[in-house]
Amino acid sequence: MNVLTEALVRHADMAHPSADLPDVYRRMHRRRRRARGRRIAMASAVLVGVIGMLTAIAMVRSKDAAPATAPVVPPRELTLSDLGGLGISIAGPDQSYQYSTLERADPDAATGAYSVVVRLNGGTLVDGNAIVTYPDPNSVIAEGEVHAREQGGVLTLIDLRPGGRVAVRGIGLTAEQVQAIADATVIVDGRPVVNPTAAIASFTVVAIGTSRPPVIRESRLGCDALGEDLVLGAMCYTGLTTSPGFEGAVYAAGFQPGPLVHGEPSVVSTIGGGNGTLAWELMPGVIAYIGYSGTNMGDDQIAALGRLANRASLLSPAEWSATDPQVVEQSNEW
Amino acid sequence: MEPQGSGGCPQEVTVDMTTEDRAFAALYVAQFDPMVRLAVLLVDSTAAAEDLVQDVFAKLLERFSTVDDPPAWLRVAVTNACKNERRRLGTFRRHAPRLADPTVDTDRPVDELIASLRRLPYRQRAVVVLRFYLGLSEAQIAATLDVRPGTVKSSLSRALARLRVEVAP
Repeated sequence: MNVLTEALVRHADMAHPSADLPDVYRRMHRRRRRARGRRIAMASAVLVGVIGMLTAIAMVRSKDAAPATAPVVPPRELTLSDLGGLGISIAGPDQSYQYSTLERADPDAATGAYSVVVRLNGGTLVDGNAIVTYPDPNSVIAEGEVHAREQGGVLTLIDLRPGGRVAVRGIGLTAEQVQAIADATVIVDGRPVVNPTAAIASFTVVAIGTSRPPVIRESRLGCDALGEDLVLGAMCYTGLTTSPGFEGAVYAAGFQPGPLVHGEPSVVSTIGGGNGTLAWELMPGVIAYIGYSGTNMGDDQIAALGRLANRASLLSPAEWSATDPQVVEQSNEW
Repeated sequence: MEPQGSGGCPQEVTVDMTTEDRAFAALYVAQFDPMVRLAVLLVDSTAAAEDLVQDVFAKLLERFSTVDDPPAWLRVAVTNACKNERRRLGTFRRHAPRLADPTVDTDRPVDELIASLRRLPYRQRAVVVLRFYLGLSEAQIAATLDVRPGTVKSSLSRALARLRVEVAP
C-alpha cells in the first residue's frame, strides 16, 4: 500500500473506529439540526462555566463541613434543573469547541430502583461512603438468605425485603457500619428510606434518587481535538448526571481510585461503555465523568483522563441549550 | 452512559420501514462510517465530521427517491460540506474570542504526513484524499469536485510536490 494511503487509512480509522448504529439511527429519525452559531455560544460559555465550577466546589466543601451531629434526613431529589442544567465542555488545544451534545432522558427511571447515598461526615466518594439500592438489580441471592462480601475494598450486604433486595455497598466503612445502615433502611412506597438511628448518628444522607439517571447530559469529542488521541485513541466523551445510582453501579462493578479532579477524589471504572471512565462528584449526588473509546485502559490513559477532567468547566442551562443537544429517550442503565 | 462508541447504554431500536426506508437504511449502514472517515480527513475533527455526514444523510433522505447514484451523491455532498465547514471554521477562528488555557498542549504531534496534508489548500487536500484514500480515478475526482480533469491532475501534482518537500528527511 502506498505510504500516503497507509497514513490516510490509519488516521481515518483512528479518528472514527466505528459508529454506534442504534444511536445514529435515532439521530437519523430525529434529524435535529445543530444551530450554526452553537460553537461560538459554547466558547463564550466558558467564562461563566468557570464561575459555575467554583460555585459547585464551594457547595461541596460547605457540605463536607456539616457538623457531626447532622440528622439523617433525606434531601429531596436533585435534578439537573435544580442545579441550573449543567453541562460540561472541554477546551481543545486550538481553543475551539467542536463536539456534539446529547441529552439522554429516561422518562421511566422512576419505575425502577432507587438509591440513597449515606456518607460518614467528612466522607467522600471513595471513603466513608455507602449506597443503598432497592430493589437492587445486581443481587442474586435466595429468599431468606443474607449475603455479605468484601471485594476491592467495597463491603456489600444484601438483604431480602418484600418486593426485592436491598443492597448496601460501602467503602471505607466497617462491616458493623454497613450492617447498621442496612438495619436503618426501611422500604416506604417502594423506595428505600434510611432512618436516623443512634447507630448511624455520624452519617448523613447526602443524596437520593432513581438508580437509573433520569437525565444524562453528554458531549462527544474527538480525542485529537483535545490533544490526547495518542494516549486515548479516537473518541472522548463527557457526561453529567444527578443519579446516585452511578456510585452504586461503580461499587458493584469494581473501580480504582483516580487522580484528584479540582481537588476532589475520582473513581476509574469501565461501566457505561467505552474503554474507561473517570468520574467525580461536583457535589454529592451530582456526578461528572469523562470517558473514552480507543486504547486499552492503563496508567497513561487514567492520567490522560485526569488531565482532561481538570480542564473541564460547566455550562449554565442557557449555554447547554445553546448547544442544541440531540434528545433521545432510552433506558439509562449503567 | 456515553456514547456507545462513545460509551453508552444499550438501546433498543424499533423503526417502521418501507422498502425505500430499508434501502436507505442499508445505504446508511454501509456508508456512514466510510463517509465520516472521509470527512475526518478533510475537516480534522471527528465530531464535526460525524455531524456534517449526519446532515448530509438527512438531506439525502429528503430526496432519496430522485438520486440515481446515492454513493456518488454522498461523496459529492460530503466533500462540499467539508469545504463549507472549513470555510466556516476559518471565519469562526478569526472572530471568536481566544480563551487560551495555559495548561493545554497546543503542539501535540500528529503523523507528519497528516500534518502536512492539513496545511494544503482545500482543493489539493481533497484531491489527495479522494485519490489515495478512496482510490478514485481522475475522472471520478473531477466529477466529485466539479472541476475539469486537467485541474485534478495539476492539483494532485502540486499537492504531492508539496508533501514531498514537507516530509522529506
